[in-house]
Amino acid sequence: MKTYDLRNAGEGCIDNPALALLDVFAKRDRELQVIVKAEDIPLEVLRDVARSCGYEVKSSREEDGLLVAVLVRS
Amino acid sequence: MRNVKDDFPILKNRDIVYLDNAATTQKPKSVIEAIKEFYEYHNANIHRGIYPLAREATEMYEGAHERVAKFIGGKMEETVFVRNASEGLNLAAWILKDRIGKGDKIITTMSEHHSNFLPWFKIARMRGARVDVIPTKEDGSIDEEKIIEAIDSRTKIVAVQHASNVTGYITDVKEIARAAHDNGAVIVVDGAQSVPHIPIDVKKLGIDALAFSAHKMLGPTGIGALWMKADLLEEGEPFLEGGDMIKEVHYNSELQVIYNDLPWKYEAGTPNIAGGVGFAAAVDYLERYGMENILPHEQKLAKRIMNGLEEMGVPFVGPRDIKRRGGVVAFSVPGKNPYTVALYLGTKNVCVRAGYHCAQPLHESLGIKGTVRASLYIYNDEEDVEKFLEALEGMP
Repeated sequence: MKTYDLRNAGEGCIDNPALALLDVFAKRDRELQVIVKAEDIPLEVLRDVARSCGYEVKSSREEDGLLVAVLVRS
Repeated sequence: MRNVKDDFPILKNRDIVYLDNAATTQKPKSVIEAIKEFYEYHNANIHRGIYPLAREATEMYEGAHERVAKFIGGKMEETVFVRNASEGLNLAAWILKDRIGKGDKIITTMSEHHSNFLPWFKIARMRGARVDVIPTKEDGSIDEEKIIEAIDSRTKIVAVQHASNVTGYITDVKEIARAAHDNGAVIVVDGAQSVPHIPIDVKKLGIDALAFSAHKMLGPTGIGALWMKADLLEEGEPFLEGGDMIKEVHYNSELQVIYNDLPWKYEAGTPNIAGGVGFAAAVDYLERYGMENILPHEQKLAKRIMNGLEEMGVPFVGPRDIKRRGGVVAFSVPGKNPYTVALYLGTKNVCVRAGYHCAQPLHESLGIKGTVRASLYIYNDEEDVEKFLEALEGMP
C-alpha cells in the first residue's frame, strides 16, 4: 500500500493540499494511505471527497493535528 | 420566459452549479457551432491562399477582428488578437518599453492580477525604471485618488485593472486616464474581468490600451485581444517575428524588414483562426443578450450571496456597496482553509475557485491566506445561489 504524505503541499493556486489529494485519487491505487494536516482536510471532508472520487475511508486516526487515513477504491 | 441555461449544453449535460466564471465561462451552442462550422466548411490558412476557400477563411478571421473591435468601440487595425489577456498585457509592456527611460516610473496597484503586475517589473528592470505599487483601501478596493496623486511627470505608464477578480471592485478608469494623459503618461487597462460584464467604449474611457480574453466572455480558450491606439502600435516593435507579420524581408549582408499593416504586424505565424471565429460568435451572443443587462443581473445575485455570507458570519473582501462591484464575491470561512471549502463544495457539484486567484500581493496586503471565490455570469440564477449557500452552510 502506498502512502502519500500531503503535509508539505504548498499553499498556492496550483499547489495546495486539496489539489494534491485529488491528484492522489487520480492515480487510482486500489488501496492507499494519506497523511494530511487535519486543519487542511478534516475527516468529514475527506470522506465526502473520497466518495465523490470513488473511494471509501477504511480506517483513520488523528493525532497531533495530523489525519492518517487508509482509503480503498469502492 | 427563455432560460439562458438552455443555450449552454454543458449546463444541461452536467448537474453543476457553475460559479467559477472569473476563471473561465461556459460556451453557448452558437459559439461551439461557429467553431465546428469553420472547420467543417471554411478551414484554410489566412492571408496566403489564392483559392476561394482561403479567401473565405481570411474574410472570417478579419471579420472577427472587426466584430471584436466594434464591441469595445475600437478600430480593427488597433485590435490585435493574442492568446489571452495575459499575453495582451505582456505585449503591451513590450510595445511600450522604449517609452521608459532610466529613473522613470510605472504605476500599478496592489490589487492587480499577476498578469498586470509582473510584466511591468520586468520592463522596469530592463529600462532602469521603477514600479510604484499603489496600496488598496482597507477592503481591497482600488484607491483612485492615491493613483492620481502618484502620477507625475516621471510617470510613463499607468497599468490598472478595470475590475478585480478578487474584490469585484470596478475601477473609475476615466479619471485615472485623464490624470495620466495630463502628465504625458500612457494608461494600460486590464479588461479581463470587465469586458465580459460591462459595456465598454475605449474612446469614452479615454484609455490607451485594453487587454481581454475570449474565454471569460463565452468564447473559446486560446484567443483574446489587445486593443491599443494605432500610434502606439505603429511606434512599437513586435514581440514575435515570423510569417504574416512582414510585407518584405531582404538580406544582402544587411537585413531589411518591412512590417505588415496593423494589426497583422503583431500576429506572427498562423493564428488561432477558428478561435477568432468563435470569439466573434461570443460577441454576437453577448450583444443579443444585451451588455447593459449583465452587470445588474450579476449584482442582484452577488447581493444575495453577500447577504447569505453575512448571515453565516462569513466575511468577504471588497466594497459592501453593490454599485461599486461586479459579480465576484471572495470570502474566507473562519477557521477553514479556502482549499478545503472549495474541495468540499466540489463534492456537492458547486464549482468555485480557492486560493490567491493570481493576486497574491493583494491577499498578502490584506493579511488573508487565500479566499474562496464565487463568480457569476449571465446563466447563473437564484437557484444556483441558493444551492451554493445551502452547500456552504452544510459544510462540516
